[in-house]
Amino acid sequence: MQNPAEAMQDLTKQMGWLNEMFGQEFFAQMQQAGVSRPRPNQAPGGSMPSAQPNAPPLEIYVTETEVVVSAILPGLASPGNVAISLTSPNELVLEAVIQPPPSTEPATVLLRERFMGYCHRLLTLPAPVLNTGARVRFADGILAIHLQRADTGNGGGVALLHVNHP
Amino acid sequence: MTKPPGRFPSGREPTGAVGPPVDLLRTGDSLVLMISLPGLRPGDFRISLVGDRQIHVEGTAQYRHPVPQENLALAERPYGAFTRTIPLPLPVRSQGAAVDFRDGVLTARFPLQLQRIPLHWDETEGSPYAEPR
Repeated sequence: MQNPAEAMQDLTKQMGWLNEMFGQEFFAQMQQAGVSRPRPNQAPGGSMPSAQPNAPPLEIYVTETEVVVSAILPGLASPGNVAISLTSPNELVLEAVIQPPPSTEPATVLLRERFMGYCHRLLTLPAPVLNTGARVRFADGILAIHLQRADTGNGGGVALLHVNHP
Repeated sequence: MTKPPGRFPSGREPTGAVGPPVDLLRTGDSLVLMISLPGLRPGDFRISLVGDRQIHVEGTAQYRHPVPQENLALAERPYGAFTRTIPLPLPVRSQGAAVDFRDGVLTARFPLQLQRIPLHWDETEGSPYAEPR
């Protein structure tokens, strides 16, 4: 007989793959039919895609001098619609508002799948960064945030994930 | 860190169904289609009108960061081929269509192919369809 803890881990992993395979549209339709979306465990560092409905997908990589966060924000119309904050050298908050494009004529919505409105992510960075400011670039719907590393010169480019012990 | 390849943000595997998210609006005599294609460049995708009631969009999301993909500390954006066919609720024509691609959003406007006919309301007294006086 399988260990119950192992069985739960297997089930969680399988639900994670279901979530991965079918994506948001499928579960949005299932929710309308009364079936809720499975919520997979999120491994440290975010190995699974974001399971939050109003959280933009991200990519993060580290260079010798920078931590770069790329946020997928198609339709972001203005730099004033983005706010980036640090809660600590290792934790960043990204907030953005995606507004519908301005239109001079009335429109009837026949289908709405694209995300609109407020979205945010609270994420742990793979290396500590300085709070002196970030270089930001928005192109082709991707917001690239370049943060200066606070540990430049240490570790030969190896990023360490800060872990808080209780 | 591993991730199943080839799925565009909203969707399932490229064969069969949903790819990038879509908004569809009717404004006046046009149908406006907006498709989120973040990170793509105009040469990465193609959009076509199939008959007068289907839009087909296909392309490939290319990886363009300056570090190898396996070195990403967080990888939530899928890459690879995608395809989506969007059935239109109303027939359109390609003549007069306009396409714009900005900030990762493709906007395509198609004139509707409809011939509106005049309506003659029943004027019988008490009829719910009598024209208002």
